[in-house]
Amino acid sequence: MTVPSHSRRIVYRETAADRAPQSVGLSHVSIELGHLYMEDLQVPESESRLAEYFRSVSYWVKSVESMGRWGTTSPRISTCFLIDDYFSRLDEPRVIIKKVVDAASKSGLAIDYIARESSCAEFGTAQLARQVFDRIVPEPLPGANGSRPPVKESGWLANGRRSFDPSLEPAMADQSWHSPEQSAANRHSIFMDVQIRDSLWSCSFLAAVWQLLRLGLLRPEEKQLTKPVPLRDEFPSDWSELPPVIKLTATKNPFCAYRSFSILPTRFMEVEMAARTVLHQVELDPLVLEDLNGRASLEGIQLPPGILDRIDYAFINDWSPTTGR
Amino acid sequence: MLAFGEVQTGLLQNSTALSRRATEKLIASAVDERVRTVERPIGRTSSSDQLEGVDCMLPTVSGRQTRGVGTVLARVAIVGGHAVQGSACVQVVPAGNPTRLPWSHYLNQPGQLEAIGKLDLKDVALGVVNGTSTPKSLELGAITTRMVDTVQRAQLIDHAPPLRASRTRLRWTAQLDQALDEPEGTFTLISEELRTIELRMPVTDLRSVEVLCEDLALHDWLLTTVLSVVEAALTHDHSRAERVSRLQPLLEHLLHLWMPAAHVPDQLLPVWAALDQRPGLTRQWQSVVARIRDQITVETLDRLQAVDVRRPSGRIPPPAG
Repeated sequence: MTVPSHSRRIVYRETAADRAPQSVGLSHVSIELGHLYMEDLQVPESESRLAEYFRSVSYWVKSVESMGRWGTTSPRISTCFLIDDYFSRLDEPRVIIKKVVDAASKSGLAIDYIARESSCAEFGTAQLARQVFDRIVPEPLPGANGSRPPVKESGWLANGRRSFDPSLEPAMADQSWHSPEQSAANRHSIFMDVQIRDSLWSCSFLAAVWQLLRLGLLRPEEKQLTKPVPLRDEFPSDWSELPPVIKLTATKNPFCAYRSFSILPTRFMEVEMAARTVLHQVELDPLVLEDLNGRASLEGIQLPPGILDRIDYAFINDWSPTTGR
Repeated sequence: MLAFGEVQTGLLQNSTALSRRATEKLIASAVDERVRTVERPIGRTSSSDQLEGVDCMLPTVSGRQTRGVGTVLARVAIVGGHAVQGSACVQVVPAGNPTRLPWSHYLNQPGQLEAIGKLDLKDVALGVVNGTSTPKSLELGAITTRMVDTVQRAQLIDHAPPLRASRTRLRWTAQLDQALDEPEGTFTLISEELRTIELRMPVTDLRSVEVLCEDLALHDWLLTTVLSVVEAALTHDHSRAERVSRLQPLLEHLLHLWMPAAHVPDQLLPVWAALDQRPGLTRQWQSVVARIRDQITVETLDRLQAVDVRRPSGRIPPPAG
């Protein structure tokens, strides 16, 4: 007999072969109160505009709290705000953070966590953007049968087949023009082609990383990314010295959550659409998904199986008559 | 439920066996960091499952056009620092929708192909085994070739293998049905480099079937490679010394890799037991190994005798002590 007999008395294991994801604290909902470019915070009337914006946001926050769709009557809700320190660096953290927190507090809103956008790209040894990029499984075009390797090196990601113009490619002049085509079109196509990066990661791609981070789907070794550092004042003068996510209130509700709710200025709608195009094509760690489902079910909550269904949005125009913008 | 896949096995293009660390480094650089190693009873390091999206026709013998959309699971593994295996597999399920859904729907079910249109699982299973393919139908073979190539082309190995060995391919289908008592199957040698196995399995886990097929493919490749080297060495008019020099690399590099069912889940062990009974893979292996050892023993005796003849006394001195 060459095959070992069925002996079940001895269990043999090799721990090196088992992986376990880092554990994170989880709220029920992570509400994003807004995302602004640094320029938004530089204009002279920025404080009144921000206060105006947060006033509208505060109604949405109340609605989110009372929506009753989080699987519990007393949901743990945390609020967060993302500041762009990746594409531009202007005023120092103390000035900007105070401006945002004060404007929010005028409408009774507390910002529990503030994150730096650059940490979605890279922080310490954690290269979240790279990690997510490596997990992209580009959607196949109709006809993809495995014979050609998938390409994602162009820096662009689409939700279908790009249009083709033979006048731009004389070598292929025998082919005729064809229109772009969404792979999962509902009769008519809505074709999206998203730039992931040039020399920098794109805002849309970082927005996708930001959603994944808040949804507890990324478990970086750098714990500060998922377990924010409490910091109320004494901010460093340079953004790069600020922890990636800081905790500004005494809330017990963790930064990461089962579900996310993003309240954003309407002009970020395209960015979020692009982020969703990316999120549709990111392969998630099955162990992390299992961990989230297990933790939720211990609380009697069933999570939507698709992660895109765990994200809600509210878009608000941040034009207001007082600024005359 | 129908699952099918392909495993391609070959000799790692390196002059010596790679250590565990070197193997892990090789796979991490060729694929990604999520490398997994099992050490007992034989070292096996594999890459994480890579997903590849496909949207194409499923192979059928009838010519029926059934479109499959979803992801193929693919991985590469190195066993005992010498054998490379590229493996790809999928599971076919009927689609709930007549049209294609957003990609995240399919990514959520790794290794699953949803069949849009009329689906006849027997037809597809036969299509896989018979290799009926049109330019539009799924080509798992291309994916497994790429997986093996990513490792074989790496700069971290010296590309000077100790012996010549061809790649072999095992194409497999498995009907997964928990109502079955025992696994059943048909193993066929189609050509020198292609084998098929049609299985019926009392499990629903795609990965455990894949592990079994990888294990079968590895041992079939070992046997095929060793037999072909032995045949080439012994059927030609080589001197005995030359024969032995051709057989020696087998002894040094391949013979210890025979470890049937090393990582196969318990409930699938009967498949190995059956294959050992008929055609008797292990019997054939043992016989060819004995033959190699005999050749080497005879050559050693020859040499000792030659030394003996040259001695003045003509006698081998008794062992000391």
